[in-house]
Amino acid sequence: MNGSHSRDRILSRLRQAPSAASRAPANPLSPVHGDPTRFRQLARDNHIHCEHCDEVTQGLQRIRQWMQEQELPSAPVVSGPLLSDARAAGWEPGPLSDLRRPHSVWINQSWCAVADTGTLVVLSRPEAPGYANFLAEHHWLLLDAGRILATKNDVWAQWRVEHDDTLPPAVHIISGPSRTADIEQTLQLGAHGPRSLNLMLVGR
Amino acid sequence: MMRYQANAFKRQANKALQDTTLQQALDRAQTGFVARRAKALELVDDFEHLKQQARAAKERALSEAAYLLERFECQVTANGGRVHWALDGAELNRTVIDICRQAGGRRIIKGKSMVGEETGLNPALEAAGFELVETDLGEYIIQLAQEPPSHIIAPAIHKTRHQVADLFARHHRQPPRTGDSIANLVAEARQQLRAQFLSADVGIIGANLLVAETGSVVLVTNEGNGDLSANLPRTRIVVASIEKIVATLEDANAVLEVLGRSATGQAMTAYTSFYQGPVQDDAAGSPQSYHVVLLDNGRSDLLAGPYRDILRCIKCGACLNHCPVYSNVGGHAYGSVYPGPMGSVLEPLLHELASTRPLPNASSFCGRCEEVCPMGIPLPRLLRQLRDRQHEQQLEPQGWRRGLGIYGWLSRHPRCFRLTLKLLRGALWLVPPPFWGQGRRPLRPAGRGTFVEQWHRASRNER
Amino acid sequence: MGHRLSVPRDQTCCGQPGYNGGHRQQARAVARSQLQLLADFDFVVVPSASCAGMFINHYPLLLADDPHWHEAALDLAGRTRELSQFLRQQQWQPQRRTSDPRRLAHHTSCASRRETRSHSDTRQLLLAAGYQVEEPANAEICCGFGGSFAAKFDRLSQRLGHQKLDACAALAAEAVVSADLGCLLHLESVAGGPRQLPVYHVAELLAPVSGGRRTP
Ligand code: SF4
Repeated sequence: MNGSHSRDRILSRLRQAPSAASRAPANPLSPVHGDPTRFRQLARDNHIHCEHCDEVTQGLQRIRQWMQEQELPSAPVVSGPLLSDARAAGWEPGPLSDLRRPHSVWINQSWCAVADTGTLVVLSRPEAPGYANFLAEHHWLLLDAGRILATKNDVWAQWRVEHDDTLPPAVHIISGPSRTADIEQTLQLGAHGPRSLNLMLVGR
Repeated sequence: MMRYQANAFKRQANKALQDTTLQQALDRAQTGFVARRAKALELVDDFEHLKQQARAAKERALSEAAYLLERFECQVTANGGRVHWALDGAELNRTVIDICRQAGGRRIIKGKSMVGEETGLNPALEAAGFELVETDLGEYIIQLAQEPPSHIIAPAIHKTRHQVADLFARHHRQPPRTGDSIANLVAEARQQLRAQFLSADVGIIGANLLVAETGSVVLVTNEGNGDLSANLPRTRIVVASIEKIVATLEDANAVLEVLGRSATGQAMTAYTSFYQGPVQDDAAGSPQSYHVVLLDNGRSDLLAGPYRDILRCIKCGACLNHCPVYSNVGGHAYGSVYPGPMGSVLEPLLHELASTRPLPNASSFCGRCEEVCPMGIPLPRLLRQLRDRQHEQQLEPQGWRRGLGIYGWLSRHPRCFRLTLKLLRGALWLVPPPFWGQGRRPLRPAGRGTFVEQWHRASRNER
Repeated sequence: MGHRLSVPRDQTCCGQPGYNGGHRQQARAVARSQLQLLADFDFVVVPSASCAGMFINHYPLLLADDPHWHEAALDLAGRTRELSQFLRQQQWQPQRRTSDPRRLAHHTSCASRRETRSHSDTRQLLLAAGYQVEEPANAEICCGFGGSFAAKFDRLSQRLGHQKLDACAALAAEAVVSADLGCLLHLESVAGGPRQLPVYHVAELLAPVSGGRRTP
């Protein structure tokens, strides 16, 4: 393979074009919070089912009730940091491989949200692998109500405030359940990924 | 496999005009896309401002493309992946095949990738003995039908539900469906593809953007198939063309602001993923192997030249959806990978001019594409430049060339121009059908003499 | 309106066929000859938006690399008006309201929308003259003329023309009016069959209410 030869040729051709030294504007420093009402409105427009609770255990109990209402019999799969809360809520969560089963439910934490577009931001972590967000049939995300940011740019600003510049292996920005309009332009939810996306806002 | 050729555009277009099923599908698609985009734009205060930001982000990237691509490579490597470079399509295909072989994989799942279409990646992989399944529903449908995509974001837009139902019935080994409702078809595809996702060795995806500062690959989808393809298999390969690069995460956001709205009328599609590195959290304990293959295929040559603007294209499809030609003949008529206005610019530049002759001409220069393009690409101007080049290379039909030559000469010789008009005026009804086609009625000029003659006669009489 | 009007005998063509047909050098030569011819007028009023757009937007591009001619092109661009644009700017008023009761479909050409941006001027003039005008659905879509496009891709061009006329007919319009001669030529030629919609240039409808010729 002559890969490095191609690399050099491509780069040298690109360098032949005159380059304007127009630098990107400096990254905004402090993240701005968004309007929760607007966020909820837009999230609903994105087909996200929204609920509210005061604390995590209460939220998980409510999800449990929701599962009974939906006649989803098996235990959900729960992401790492929520495990002890889930047990406190009376569940023995299933292993990740349960997500391959029909009617699976995945409960995960959302890192933050974007009010501007009614969007949730989820990080892929060893204890909450990225694929789980796409494999489950029903997806629940818990979001700390204090972490609703204004715009997508505030997400990156927030990251830089809390961490260094290195992002996790994947950041998934999720704005609704899986959907397709590939047949006759008709919208169908649940194309490959979750048929439903549900949000539990925790706290004020 | 149905074969289409760019040079047969006219024949293919005329055939498409007669195809009633296709016309129904196109009608529905066009109204749907146009209305959704219009609604999405109504909801933003100042779309022009968003356009400017997106355009500036892309311009910044193009003006230091080499530096940013190197930076991207550096970041991907630091994050545990590997970047490969391909001068042309054949090299990209070879590289991907080598990676698949080294991974010891046999079954491949693929997210939608126009770059893959451009290089003919699927046939190359199949010829090399791999089993490959497209997972985007539209791509899956046309893979079953053995057809090329007819739209850059909605590949099966030309198919009706009944055609899809027939395809599924022929290819899926399962008891017949009850009814052809779209919901049933989607559910059936979901079930079929689930098994593929879970058993594949390699996942290949395209990219909407590459971010230099973080080494991110940005993937924008609605179905989630791309993310399953990226995350589940042991090996992940991203194929992307080099102009997808942007400098920063904020610049990526600037492009995302206009991409979804222009494409499907969504402020954000269901899933936008930023992939920095391989999945580390596999149950088996070994990290995923992760590769990005960058394709040039003639793009680096465009950067310094008069066609640079087309490198800002983000493949949103708005110019297709709003093009009166595309929406009447569909994508297959173009006989090219990229159809519509952006394709008519890009295809002649990626291939040679002679094999795509009709494409730059298949435009009435109505200007709607430029009006809706979120990246401010002057598509009619670029098409006009291509026509100039065709003329320089003497690629247009001799008759046209001569006819225009004579007309140009007359335009500079007013007396002869007047005389010719006068003669023509009397003979307009003779204009033969191939020139002023069948189905048109002959022209009947009003009054005696040309307008200029009539005017001067009248003003003489007044005096 | 206090202007003296000339129709220069030596005018020929704006050069669009060559310009859009790849004959750039030819288009430049035609442009230079028109620039000379039109150098001394205060306004150049063009009864067709696409030709007006050629003067306004494309001559400066075409002659960009020649400082002398570029200057001349910018100068002409500043003096050029599409007819309806000119009439509105000069505050034209009808001498009487029309007695023509027909419903008119206003075909806003692509050039009047995107090149001269004067399609609303045309509409306003017609309304002021008392005509019943309406825009058909999908008014922003091309009628399919496009100069040589109509000849090169004839069936496609006619299909678009029929779609335009269908939209006009859906308004129950009895005639079509436009400010672009190319579109009119094309629409007139496809308007055969049972439909038989007459087509008019805006000037033909304004003349009778300006104390000029009678309604065509
Ligand atoms: S040319 Fe513009 S409108 Fe067309 S696909 Fe590219 S970005 Fe979208």
